[in-house]
Amino acid sequence: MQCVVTGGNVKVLGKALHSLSRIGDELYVEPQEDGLALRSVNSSRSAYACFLFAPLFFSRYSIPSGLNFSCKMAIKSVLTVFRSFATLEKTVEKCHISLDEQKDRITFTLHCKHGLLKTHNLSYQDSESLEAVFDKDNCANVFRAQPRVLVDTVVHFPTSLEEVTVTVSDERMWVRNHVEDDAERSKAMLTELCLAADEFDHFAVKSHNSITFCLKEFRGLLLFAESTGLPVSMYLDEPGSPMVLSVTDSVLEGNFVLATLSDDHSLHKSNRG
Amino acid sequence: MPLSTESQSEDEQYVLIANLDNARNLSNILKAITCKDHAIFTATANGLKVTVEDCKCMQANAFIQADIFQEFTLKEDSVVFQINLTVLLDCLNIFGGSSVGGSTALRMCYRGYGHPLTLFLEEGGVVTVCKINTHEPEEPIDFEFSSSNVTNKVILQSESLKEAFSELDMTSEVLQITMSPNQPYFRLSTFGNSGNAHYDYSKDSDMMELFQCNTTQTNRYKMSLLKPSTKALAISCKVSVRTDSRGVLSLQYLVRNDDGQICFVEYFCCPDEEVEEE
Repeated sequence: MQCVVTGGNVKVLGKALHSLSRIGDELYVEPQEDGLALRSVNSSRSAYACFLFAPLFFSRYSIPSGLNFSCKMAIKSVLTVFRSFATLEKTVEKCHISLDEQKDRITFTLHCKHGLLKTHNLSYQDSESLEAVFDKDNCANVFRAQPRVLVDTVVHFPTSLEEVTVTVSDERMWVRNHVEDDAERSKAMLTELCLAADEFDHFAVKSHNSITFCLKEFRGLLLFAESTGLPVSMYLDEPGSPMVLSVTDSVLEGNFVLATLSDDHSLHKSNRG
Repeated sequence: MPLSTESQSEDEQYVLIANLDNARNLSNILKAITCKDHAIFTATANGLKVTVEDCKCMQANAFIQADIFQEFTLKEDSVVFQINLTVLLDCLNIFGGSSVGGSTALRMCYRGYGHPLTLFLEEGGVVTVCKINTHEPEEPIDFEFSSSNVTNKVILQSESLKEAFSELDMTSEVLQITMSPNQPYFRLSTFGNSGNAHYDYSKDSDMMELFQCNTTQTNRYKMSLLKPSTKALAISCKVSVRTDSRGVLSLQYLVRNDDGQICFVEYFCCPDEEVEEE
């Protein structure tokens, strides 16, 4: 496998890796005919994220035909390659990714300004392909918004907050912090924001309901969406069934699948155990 | 200014008097070498040399030339004492050490062996007097690093090294430095938990001010010993990297202070182990 990423796309790749690092500790790398797939899943398997970079995203993308390869590596070590965005933006001109199956390693070579060459040889482990099954086309409620709208919404919640609840009606969406049922009401603080349908690019509601999901992974996707300026699509169904967040443009696709809290109280308790 | 109203007779008791209009010019450079508490101060007619050592394998020296000081009076050929550097830095920053709201003026006096180092610090008309006990000076290690033994030398603009040092894989126990007349010319390598990384600087890079490498040399240095040098790197504008025939590393940092004057910080570090040349 030989991939070359140039110019601003190096930063896009870096941002994608940073948002994947909000999901899990391991990065699953799978070079496919239709592009390079980077995936991650959290330890409780309640959140999954996948970025697919099409061959056109790269200035060069070549994989041996019939390559059936899939591996995982520590996401932390990959982040060391793309640690600082300031450097990525200012100094990196080209990023070369190559696979050495003999030595079980992936080499990231950054060609930087002033002739500086950074080579990172990172070891990987063979793994099964990681693929989540989700169906966003049959979700009851579909929204699309500019990243700014969503970033400005979540900024009001403290970083320590774990979950938010999104309630929708025909022309409004309410976002509020999720308070545990057993929490003492007198001590809990409730923050609620209301977004009107016209703040969204697309607002289609078939089912009036409330969905509770983790904020951390959502923030991870927003990090990527904000830097690339790509609108975020949200596919919400019934409480308890997964929700999908996605960003797409002509050369890349990112999908985040998050578990949502089930309405059924007993089930929700046992799930968290 | 209150600092100059010291009576003449009192001044005569001191073997060393050094005045600075801006104490930050001293504290900033001393901060860059703090890795151990104890520092050896050596004052000669040339100025002040402050030495800190770690594990007998690493030595950091800060040089503050006499002309950086507004007054530098020395009654003996050389004055040597040892002092707790952390305490000294706390005293120098006693007014907060921020650059806003004027600078702290410093008058540093030493009466001789067995006496404390006396600091008069003044800011906005308020004077603080600090007395710091001095200790018996230890003999600093002589790394016998002489320029005639230097095999390889490069001078780089600090900017390019700052980037590399900020990204270095700290899970690596060592930093390996390769200098060679052929490719890779100047290479920094780490060997961490998740793999290895190499940073190659081309000899033709515009960040490379001087490239004098005659033989290929690869040496490893303990990351823990080199880590403190990043503090000096952060405030420097140029760095000279030299190794001698034994593999001893010298890092010289050129530091420009608030007033545009130039000081130096030098690190010596022993190589970790022999590396077979490939």
